[in-house]
Amino acid sequence: MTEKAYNKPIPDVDDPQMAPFWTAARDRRLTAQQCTSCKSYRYPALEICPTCLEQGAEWVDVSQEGTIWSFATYHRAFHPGFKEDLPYVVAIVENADGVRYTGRILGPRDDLAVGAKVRALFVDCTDRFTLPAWELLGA
Amino acid sequence: MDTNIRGKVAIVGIGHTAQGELPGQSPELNSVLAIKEAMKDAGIDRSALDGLITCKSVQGTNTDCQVGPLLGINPRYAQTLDYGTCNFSIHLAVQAIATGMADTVALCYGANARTMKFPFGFSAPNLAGVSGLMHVGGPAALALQRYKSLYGMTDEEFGWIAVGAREWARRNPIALFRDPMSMADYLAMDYLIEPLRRPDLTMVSDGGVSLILTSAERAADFPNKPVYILGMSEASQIRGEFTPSYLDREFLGLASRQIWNSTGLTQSDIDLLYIQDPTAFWVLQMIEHFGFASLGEGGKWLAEGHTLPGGSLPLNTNGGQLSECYMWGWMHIVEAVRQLRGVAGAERQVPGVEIAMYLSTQTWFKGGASIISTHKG
Repeated sequence: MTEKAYNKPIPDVDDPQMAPFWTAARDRRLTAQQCTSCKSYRYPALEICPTCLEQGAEWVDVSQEGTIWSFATYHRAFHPGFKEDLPYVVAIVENADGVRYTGRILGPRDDLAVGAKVRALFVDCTDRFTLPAWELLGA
Repeated sequence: MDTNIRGKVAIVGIGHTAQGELPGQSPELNSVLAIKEAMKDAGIDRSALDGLITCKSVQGTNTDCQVGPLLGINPRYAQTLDYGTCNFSIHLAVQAIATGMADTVALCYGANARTMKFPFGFSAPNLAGVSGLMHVGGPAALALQRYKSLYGMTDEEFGWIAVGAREWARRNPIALFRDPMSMADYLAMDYLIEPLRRPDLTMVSDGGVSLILTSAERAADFPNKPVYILGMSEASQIRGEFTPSYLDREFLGLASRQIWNSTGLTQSDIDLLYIQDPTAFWVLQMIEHFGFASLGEGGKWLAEGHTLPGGSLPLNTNGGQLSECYMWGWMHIVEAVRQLRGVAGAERQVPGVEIAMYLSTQTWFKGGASIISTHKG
């Protein structure tokens, strides 16, 4: 945890739809909703399964390894909290279960590329908010 | 059922406010001031209008019920579109006129996002937002990075969209960004959201714009050369980010096939191309999805100079949102009508143009296309 107060945007970790995701992140678990009927994954949360239109779902652990679909490197901070991180990288990652997450790429970037393999890591930002992010697997 | 709308409805009036900073003017006021100009252009007064279609401002205002009190009419047909980018508004007007629900319809858009300092960088605090994915440039940069990785387009090839827009804007007295920008200037600029540079992203400005549409029969009585709608199509990807690879916007291929199939026209029939340009990469995608260049070849095609002044298919001759003004694509149609009427002015009038195509999208959710011409058939 950083010494000074966390100054980037914070999600509503009590949001009834998404709270299980943020709670799991505190335990270093990456999760997605899974339809209890057809077993399709979905992320972020939806009130009904768009594959089979059944409502039952549970949050389940999913693979923490994935592939970069694409990435963008920010050279300007559109929120002051990101200034100290410039340039920073945001990527769309497809994990081994086929679930896509948009999140930060942290750590060394020498192997940053579309298709590069990544693994999840978890950054404790506040007492209640842990950010799931990604780091490149060494070449 | 006869679904052919070819030549049944025409644009008979165009109008707009000054573009730029209009402090103290609401989106609704800007809409009404633009409608006044469009009525003047069409040679009519409010008694001739029996339809109004407004496009919401980015703040969600400028609805028909908010514009109505200022415009002072109760037309029999009134609607508001959430994101009217001129295509969707034109399509709704054509449907209303072709079905007899209205005879003569004013379409309008008004915005004050610049002076109101609308927070375009703001993102919802979901995982992407708290991770720093902000501004429409973020998703566009993601899409462009993947494209470059797959197809190897160079920065210079891609840069022709922004550089070309500026070349056209330099010939347009309305345009807000008219300073010269060479390819060398462009390439020397830092990335904003890599691989996008500042000139690859829309400006933000205030203004209002309006069109007046009526039936082909009535259009003959108007003072200006009517510009007929020859074809129109739409496609959606309303599942949004739940659609795999949604940023590739492959759904636009459906809008493409529909408009070419329904009109019988081909890309080579198009004299002028207008593409709404919140980001330069959305333009490149539309060039490819609508078949002006094949997938992965758009950059090389641009570098051949087709879209530049003097080229065979001029693109966004007003300078677009990258260099003219920020009217969600509406000023593209105003410019297309001026070009087709032959009144775009000596500096940028393209000689002998008869058919223009206009393409626009609501990010990765919806897309639309229209083909317009001074000829009905």
